[in-house]
Amino acid sequence: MPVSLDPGTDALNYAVLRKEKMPTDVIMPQMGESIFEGTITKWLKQPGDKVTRDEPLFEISTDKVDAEIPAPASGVLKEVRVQPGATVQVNTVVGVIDEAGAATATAPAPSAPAPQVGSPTPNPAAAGGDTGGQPTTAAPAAPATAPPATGPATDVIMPQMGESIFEGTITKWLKQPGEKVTRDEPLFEISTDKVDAEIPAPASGVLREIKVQAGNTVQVNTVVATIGGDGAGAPTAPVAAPAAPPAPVAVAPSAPAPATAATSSVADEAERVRSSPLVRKIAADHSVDLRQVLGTGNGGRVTKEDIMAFIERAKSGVPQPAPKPVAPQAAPVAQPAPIAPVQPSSAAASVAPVAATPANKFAGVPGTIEPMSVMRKKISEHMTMSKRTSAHVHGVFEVDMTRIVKLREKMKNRFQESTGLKLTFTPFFARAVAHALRQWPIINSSVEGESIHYKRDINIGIAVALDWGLIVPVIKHADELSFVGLQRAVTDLGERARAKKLKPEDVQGGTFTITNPGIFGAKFGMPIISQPQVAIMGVGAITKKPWVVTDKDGNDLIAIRSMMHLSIGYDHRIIDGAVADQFMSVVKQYLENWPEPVL
Amino acid sequence: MAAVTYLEAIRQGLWEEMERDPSVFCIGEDIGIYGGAFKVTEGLIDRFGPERVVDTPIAETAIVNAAFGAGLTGLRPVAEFQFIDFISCAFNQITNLLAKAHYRWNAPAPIVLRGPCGGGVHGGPFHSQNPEMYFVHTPGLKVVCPATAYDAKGLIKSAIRDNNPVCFFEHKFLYRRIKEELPSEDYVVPIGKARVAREGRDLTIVTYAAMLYVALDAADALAREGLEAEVIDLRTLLPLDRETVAESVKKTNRVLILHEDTRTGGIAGEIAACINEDCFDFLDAPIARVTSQDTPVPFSPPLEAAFLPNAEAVAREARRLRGW
Repeated sequence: MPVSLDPGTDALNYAVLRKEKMPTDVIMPQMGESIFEGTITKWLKQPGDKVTRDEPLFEISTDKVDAEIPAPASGVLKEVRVQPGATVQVNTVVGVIDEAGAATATAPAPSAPAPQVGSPTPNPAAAGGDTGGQPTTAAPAAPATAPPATGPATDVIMPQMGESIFEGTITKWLKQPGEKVTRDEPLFEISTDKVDAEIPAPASGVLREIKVQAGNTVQVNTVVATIGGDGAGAPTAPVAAPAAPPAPVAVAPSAPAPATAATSSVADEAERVRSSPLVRKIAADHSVDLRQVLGTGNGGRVTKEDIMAFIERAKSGVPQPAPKPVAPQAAPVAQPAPIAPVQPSSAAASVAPVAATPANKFAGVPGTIEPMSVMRKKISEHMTMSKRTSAHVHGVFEVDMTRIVKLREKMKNRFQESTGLKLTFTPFFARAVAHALRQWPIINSSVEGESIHYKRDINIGIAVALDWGLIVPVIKHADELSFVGLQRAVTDLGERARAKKLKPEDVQGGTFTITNPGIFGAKFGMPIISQPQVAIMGVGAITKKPWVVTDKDGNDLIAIRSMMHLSIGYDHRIIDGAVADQFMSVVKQYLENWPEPVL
Repeated sequence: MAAVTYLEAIRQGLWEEMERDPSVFCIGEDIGIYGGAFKVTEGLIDRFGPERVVDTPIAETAIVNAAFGAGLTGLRPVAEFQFIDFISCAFNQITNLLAKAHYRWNAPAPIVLRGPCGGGVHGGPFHSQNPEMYFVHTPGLKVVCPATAYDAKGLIKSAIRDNNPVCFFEHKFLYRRIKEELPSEDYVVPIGKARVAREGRDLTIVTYAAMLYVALDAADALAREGLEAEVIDLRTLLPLDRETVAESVKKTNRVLILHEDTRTGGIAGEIAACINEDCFDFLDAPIARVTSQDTPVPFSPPLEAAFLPNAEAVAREARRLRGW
């Protein structure tokens, strides 16, 4: 049996040797190269539930995508450590799965592998025998609150010296790894922009490891060192602080969870029906299921009048009016919008299925305050940043879509039978845009400093409205796809966007965006460019209009044509009006004289 | 009896109690020879002499200390604060001596602390405050805030006759603006009992002091829209008459609390908590409150008007509750 140098790690090794069933950490995964944190939006299982490996276990929201995260192992979900609404760093342990049948109690805090550092890999420097092959970059340190003294190691953190001080520079370590420290004894010196100070050790023990060397600046609450419990630890080589930007701390904010982790019990269903204490009391007294009661109050609330009327009608046998459907929490059901766009040819108008009036629970009740969701914050930041960055100019074109409308009418059934896909207008636009972008590469570029980067690939983003925001999945190499391929890509991305199944690469790398302000009847829109692109095209509603056409003899007549406005938002830093207009002329010509079959 | 003003009603109450009980005396700044800054004590010194109408230096600490000493020796002082804003000078005496005398030493402190509070008179930050909550928060005290001339007289009598230290907070805006005919016989208004000032079935408005009239104005306006508001005048803040409030909420299912005191830490929060405890199941809408802003009382007239609650603000809140 190994002599114990590091109780935490060696308990793990020891258990592995004895083939004990060990719990599995569930960690916040890294969804993409540049994603360093994620917000848990919903737990799909509760402690005590059985989980199967790969079964969806929890949902997260990152600044690129929302995703379902599968369970890393089978067993029983033992513990949820991070609640919905909390944002933690990648690799933070958010839950623990016990293998089914494993002993529940016993394991003292250290047996959850290396809890303090927050990474599932044992601390390479501390364990006597391991080779130090682990790079110490990547996942920044664990939550700031150091565990109580019963644990084997205490985090030493960069303290906050004042209300408005957010970082500090370590100027000097007064102890070296391996030296004994006494609680409150000066341990290191820091310099902030307000004060310089000596920082006392938070616990007694042996200084195990210095994580941030003198001369480095880190954010408040960053773990800068660890102190071990007993005096026997072997001295560890000081670890060089990464030259990367200072590590922000995974402090769980106390923001209210946007989605509850409730299991769907009947009580929860009744809860979701907005009422009031009085109404619930009346319902309980009369054994009324509130889900049956039509609510006429604010936001569909069941008022006292509503439930009294319900009880009256029940007594006299009058049929009850149908209650409003309770808002589903999952992907929205496409229902016809109660206020239809006032356009005659509304059948042809929609590019994407018409979304329902917001079906989520938080439909903006007057008099309430709602924290922004992660996606909303990101949209909010991006929109304002884009406006600050690009010199936005907009142009509007009117396009005769009659040819395409007729083609689509003629071909849509055959298209569906042949490909299994619904034929929408989007691939027509994507096709025309891809064609025009080849002729006007400056529209397919980006600005970096004083240079124009002409992109090699044509990756067209298609804006998708979600019930809870919007997202722009990207059709990669749109110019290389066939028409059917374009429709397939559009359909697939739209479905996965609404089902929260997009991957980060699905929303990255776009070079041009198409958006659809016409879906709810707008004539045209003036969209904001999606950075770092330099242009965005808005598609208006298609409506039948009287139009002047010239016949082949040169006579002017009025005909009924399906007309549509296209708008181009472009960055006047590098695109002049003449260029944008000529680009749009190509798009317009292509659409008005649609040359190719769809199948 | 002819109609008398709110101020005159207080004066009559003081006079009658001083007649009735020789241990009652008044102490304060300018109350004797000058008859009081607002003339509440006018004529008392001629009737009762300078030993029972005592002029003091400008020293609220000393006024209350002296009153406490007098109380210990068996007298029943009525201490005046020229503007109630200055009561803060005697905070220690009131909260640590008067409020705890009985509890700690079984010592008597039958003292009335009275003075004009409230704004709406362009008095500025130091002459317009409503400090009741500092004292509502202190066990051992009682706090009364009359809104009518009838209640002013009846409550000053009850306060003088009460063996506990009682804060009697008059509202200066009401001093000469309201007049009522009062009974000629002796009467008291019990401390700790609220009054239903207006009956209604759709909404309860809980209020006190000058805001009673704002509530009644709002109720009239709402009645024209078909919303009948019940208005409760608390009269006493400590001890709070929770029962009357709960009875009303059980009837109307909607409640709005209105006070001129600033919002944070005002009694609306306390009353909302009591309603939550007493009759949560009867609420068909959240509990609303209309209060002054959380700032010092502005001097500038338009700012003060924006600072204070008014009938339109109350009506707006009431409509919001109805539409909940």
